Amino acid sequence: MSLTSIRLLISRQFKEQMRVYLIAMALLIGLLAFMFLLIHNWRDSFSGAVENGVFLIGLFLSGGLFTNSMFREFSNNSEGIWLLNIPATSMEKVVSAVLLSTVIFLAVYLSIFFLVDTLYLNLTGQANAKGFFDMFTNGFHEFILLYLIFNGLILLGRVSFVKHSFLKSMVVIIAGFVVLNTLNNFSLEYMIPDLSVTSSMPLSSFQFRQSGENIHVQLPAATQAMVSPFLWTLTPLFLWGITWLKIKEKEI
Amino acid sequence: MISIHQLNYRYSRKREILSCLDLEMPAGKIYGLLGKNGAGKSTLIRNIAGMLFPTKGNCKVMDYEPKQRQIDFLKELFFIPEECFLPNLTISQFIDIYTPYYPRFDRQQYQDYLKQFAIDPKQHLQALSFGQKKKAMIGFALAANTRLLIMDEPTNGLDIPSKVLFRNMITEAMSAERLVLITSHQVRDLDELITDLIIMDHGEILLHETKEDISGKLLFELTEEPSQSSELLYEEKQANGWAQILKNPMGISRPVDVELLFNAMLSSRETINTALSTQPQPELI
Amino acid sequence: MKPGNMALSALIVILLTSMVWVNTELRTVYNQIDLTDKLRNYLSIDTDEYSILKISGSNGYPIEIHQSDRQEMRVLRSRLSQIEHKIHGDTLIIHFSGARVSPSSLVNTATPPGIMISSTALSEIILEDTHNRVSGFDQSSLHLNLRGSSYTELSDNRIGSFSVQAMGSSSFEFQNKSSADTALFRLKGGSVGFLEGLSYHVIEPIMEDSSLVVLSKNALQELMHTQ
Repeated sequence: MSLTSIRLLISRQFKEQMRVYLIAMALLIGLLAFMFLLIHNWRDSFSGAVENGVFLIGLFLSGGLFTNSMFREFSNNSEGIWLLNIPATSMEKVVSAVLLSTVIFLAVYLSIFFLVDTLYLNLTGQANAKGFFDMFTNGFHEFILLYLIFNGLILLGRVSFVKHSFLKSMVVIIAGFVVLNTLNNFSLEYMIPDLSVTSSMPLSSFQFRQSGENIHVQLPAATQAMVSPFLWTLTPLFLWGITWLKIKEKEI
Repeated sequence: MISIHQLNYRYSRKREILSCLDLEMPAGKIYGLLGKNGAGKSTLIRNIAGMLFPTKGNCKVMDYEPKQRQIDFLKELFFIPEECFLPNLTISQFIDIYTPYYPRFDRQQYQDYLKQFAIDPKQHLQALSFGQKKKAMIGFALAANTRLLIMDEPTNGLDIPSKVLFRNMITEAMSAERLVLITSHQVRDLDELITDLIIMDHGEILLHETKEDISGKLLFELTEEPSQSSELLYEEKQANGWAQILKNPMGISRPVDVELLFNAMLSSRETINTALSTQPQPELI
Repeated sequence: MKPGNMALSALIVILLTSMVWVNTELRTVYNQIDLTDKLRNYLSIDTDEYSILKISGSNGYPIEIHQSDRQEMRVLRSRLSQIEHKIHGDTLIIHFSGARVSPSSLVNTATPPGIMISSTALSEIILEDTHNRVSGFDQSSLHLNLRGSSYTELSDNRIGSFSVQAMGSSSFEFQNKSSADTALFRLKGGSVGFLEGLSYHVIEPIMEDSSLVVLSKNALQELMHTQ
């Protein structure tokens, strides 16, 4: 794998899409500002982590669409041929797409979010009262790791579906999550008779109802420490690896 | 340079596109790949370019297996599909971004081609007409100086002067290490250009001969009346008379009417192939 | 099957297998819960001895602090990941963060307590941006330091010398049966004190900025009388 080739591929993507990306950045700033305006206008109706909510909506919406712009050439035969014929390995093509849609995207997104958040807090006089957005509280940064899995799924969808790949990927992701959750609940209720699961998070925890009270059952810290690296690190790596295989197998 | 052995390609279990193809294509030649729509031309060149993978058999190009799409293989290949894609860039940006991928790219050569095609390098690729886009791409492909150049219907969308220019450019850019493979419906566009002819139908190779060999073994004539000659292999009525293919036992050298030969191969394949397989007599002076 | 599809199938199998394995671990945790225990939804956290309690955070779940004959801290199972604690000298420092709850939404009566702290004796409680319930203290002195937008409910406390310092937009409310021989209040900023539920012998309120106290009619008359 050549770093020069990866640099050239990233530069190619930027130069070819620069205009679209600049418009998208302006749109993102507008979207975040609009959401902050909404939560400020209806601040009595919104409680809790509204900034976190805005952060996540912006991250997954813009991140999903941006990631989907990688390998967009595959939605058209002649463009797909062009991309496959660029003298770079499939691995270099995947690595450049992953770097662009994770490292570079996150750097740009975080900068834009903090800029808009700072403006919002200052304009509404909350800068001193609330303090600035802290993404390292209560494991909120795990959503960034979740974004990596989401990124892997969208990239995989991009190379698997020729047309309307984003919509199809989203349908598969949502359906997959519902199926996984249903299987998880089923497995828990099978293992623990008379258990009434009210909610569950596969590979992490579940909540059950007992005498009118919701009781949370969390994995022991030691087990969680084993599961988390697998979930947050290996799963995206696996998904990017499958994307690489799919590109190697791609026929046009 | 290209060696194909027992190549099969299927889109599905029921739909076989290429069956048991054998082809040897050495470098230094310009191949014209002809066939009706659906004959399997595009499937064949996509197998050669590594865009499709053989279902059976094997395909070797410059000792590479195209399906592996190895970087060194891709550096020696330029493939222009029928509907060629050009990115959203100015020509100058396009050169800056893509030339590093081709080690033998000659910028001056490309500038000269653009000049000949009257395309301003400052122009945006998306603003070019279909024909201009094609010219910009053909120029880039030639200036990349890759050993293998594959073009699917390159003359589509080119005006008459550009077609002439295109033929001259290809001829000038040819070398002993290079192989150019062109598919076209417009047979006459390639008449003067190609050195070797491959005719395909229903996924099979009907003919694979050098034009020189064909010209030595077959005689192409145009008469006002149908031929009564015992040497006649094929004839068809044309607007200006009767076009005929005759045996050429004397080895008289005449230009090959590729279009006529193509039609003949589709309707009288056995007859033509038998005539081509016989040795001609030396030409009498 | 193509390698890409094989790898995808392998990932799904690994995920499902891991899910079943994790569920067996969760079953073990579940089996350790005594479902007949009233405090089944809480986990006990061990701490060293302390006399000063300092809690900050932004969690929407209330914090109960009361006096007991033994020192104990219990955390709601679902909030376990949101608590950080350490002992610094004689002070137990707790950071109980969560969603940044707006001050207007801080008072939460619908949810169970997020933390329940029992202490044998405390000399000072420092609270910042949290919703707290301080009750059952019967001791000679206690200093309550409120900061940020913390809201503290006080009930059933009998303190000899009770001093409260409130800053920022914090507020405190004596709800019932609390008494103090000497009550010293120092309010700054936009802090508010509701003193209706407090009975005292001596009161010394010091108020600055736009702070205010709310008194019952009797308490006001009593205050005027003592002044």
